[in-house]
Amino acid sequence: MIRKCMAVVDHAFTAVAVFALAFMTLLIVADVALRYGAGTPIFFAHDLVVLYLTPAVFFFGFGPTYWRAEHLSVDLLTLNLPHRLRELTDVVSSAIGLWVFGLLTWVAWERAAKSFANNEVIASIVPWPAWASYALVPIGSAAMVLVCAARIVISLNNAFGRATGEAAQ
Amino acid sequence: MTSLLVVIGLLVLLLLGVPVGFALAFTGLVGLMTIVGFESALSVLSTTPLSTTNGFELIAVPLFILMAEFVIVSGIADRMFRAITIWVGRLPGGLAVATALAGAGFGAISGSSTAAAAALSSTSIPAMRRAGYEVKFASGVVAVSGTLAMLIPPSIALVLYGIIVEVNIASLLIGGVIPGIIVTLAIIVTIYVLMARDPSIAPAARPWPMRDKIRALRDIGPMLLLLLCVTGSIYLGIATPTEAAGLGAFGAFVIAAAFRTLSWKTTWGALARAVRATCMIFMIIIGAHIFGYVLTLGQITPGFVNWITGLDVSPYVVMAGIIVFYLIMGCFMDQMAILILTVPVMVPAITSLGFDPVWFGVLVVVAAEVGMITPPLGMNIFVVSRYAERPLSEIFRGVAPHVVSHIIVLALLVAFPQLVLWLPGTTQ
Repeated sequence: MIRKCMAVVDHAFTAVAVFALAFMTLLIVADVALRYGAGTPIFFAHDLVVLYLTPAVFFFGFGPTYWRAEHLSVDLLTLNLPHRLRELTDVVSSAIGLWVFGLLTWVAWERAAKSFANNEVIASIVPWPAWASYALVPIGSAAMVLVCAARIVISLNNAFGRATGEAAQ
Repeated sequence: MTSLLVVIGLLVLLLLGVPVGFALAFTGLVGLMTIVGFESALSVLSTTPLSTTNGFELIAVPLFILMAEFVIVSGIADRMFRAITIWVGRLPGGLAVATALAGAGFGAISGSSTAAAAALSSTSIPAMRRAGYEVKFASGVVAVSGTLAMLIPPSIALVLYGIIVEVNIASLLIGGVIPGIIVTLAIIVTIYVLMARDPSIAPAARPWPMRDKIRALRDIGPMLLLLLCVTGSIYLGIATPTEAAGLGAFGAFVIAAAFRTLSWKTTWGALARAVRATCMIFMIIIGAHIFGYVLTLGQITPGFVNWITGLDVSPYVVMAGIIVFYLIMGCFMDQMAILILTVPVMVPAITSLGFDPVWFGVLVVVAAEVGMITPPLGMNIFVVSRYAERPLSEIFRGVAPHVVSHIIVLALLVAFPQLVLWLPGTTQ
């Protein structure tokens, strides 16, 4: 059940990040081509990339990356630990991630909500709404919180529960 | 005292296998809460992650990674190796030399060392085996040739260094060109030194008619096109590193489409892998930025700089010590993590000694190349071992002579900084 729910989260957030990366690439190429080819760069390209597309790639990608255990760690010692201890170190990692990203979700949400209430815009040619950029952080971080919580449950189950295979990482 | 405890806490968490980015962010936050209080720590947390990801230069990282993914999908590495083999394969050791040159060529269109090792392993190890090459020798050449991607532009490691240290990224990338050529030559020289001792390790392969040689040049074309898009546009000042990375990613996509290796599945896979590799790196950068506040408040960086500059020895002795430190760290930790963790402290120290940060960046990356092939955590060795289906110990022995030649190259670059700094000085 947990795995099925997390697969949905993984696919949804990966899809947004992938779309943002593809769009960012095309926008940058089009901007360079138009600048040198027609002398008319896309005037909003820089702001759109920096304000929205880049945070979307990063913050929406953090959760899927951790779900697939692709965040970098030094596994020199843990590789040689017995199975149960290794699962417990994974619990420690996920608990730390849960705490950090839980706090981040909270403070970033407050910042986005405040910006929305004040109707803040970016001081640029196009007055892009600032809150939409801020909001990407808590949304992406919330996915990370879910992944960390799911991995804690799975690791505890692997360490102490029945070896069902279904829960094994 | 708090800062020292935080550093110790960080080391403990790293040893427990906690992801590097998590460990940095957690210890950084706990340190900040202890030093400046809960509210101020939360204030740092609310602004640092987004501000870290807001720089236009940062975008070069995902785009260069995406370029590498499309290069892998396109199969350019296989075609390049085959083309070079047709030209030099008939010579004794020719396939090994072709591997080194293909490694340099792959490095010129991809910044990922592990990807280069994987791409080269799948093609060149079977070819060398068929030609009767000693497996230990062949695997060593493949493992070390893969490391070239880390140094030859577009180098993701050098882009990251530039972002962290706030040094001109274009200068760094162009600064990697001549050292990249020197390291390639060092690999080829090492191949011939080993063959001089025992010619049976690399026999001559079959010759090819001139018609095939001319035809093979077509396969080099796409690589040259990408090279022009990326390094050429940066060198000529036509594009910033970020724009060049975008052109490179798009160019690699077009080449993969032209080679008919693209499908929805491979395109999606390349984009998704690029997203995850980017997030892995940026998690560490965000964590390092939060942790950096503790280093600043604890006066750790200025303390280290004062200690280094106060040493009663030649700056070159200090530099030698720093390089040895990187070589040792490279044996035990991932190269990206070493870079992000150590560079913010090291660079102020080396600049206070009068050294150039661009030059130092290239030195650190060459040292990191050694870390990719030294036990116990040489990533390229793991990759090659899997493809060659040989024990790790055998591959480590095969690559050992190349480790020695890499260290000689490092000494050369330390002795003659202009090998790094001359070309960036000539850019537009």
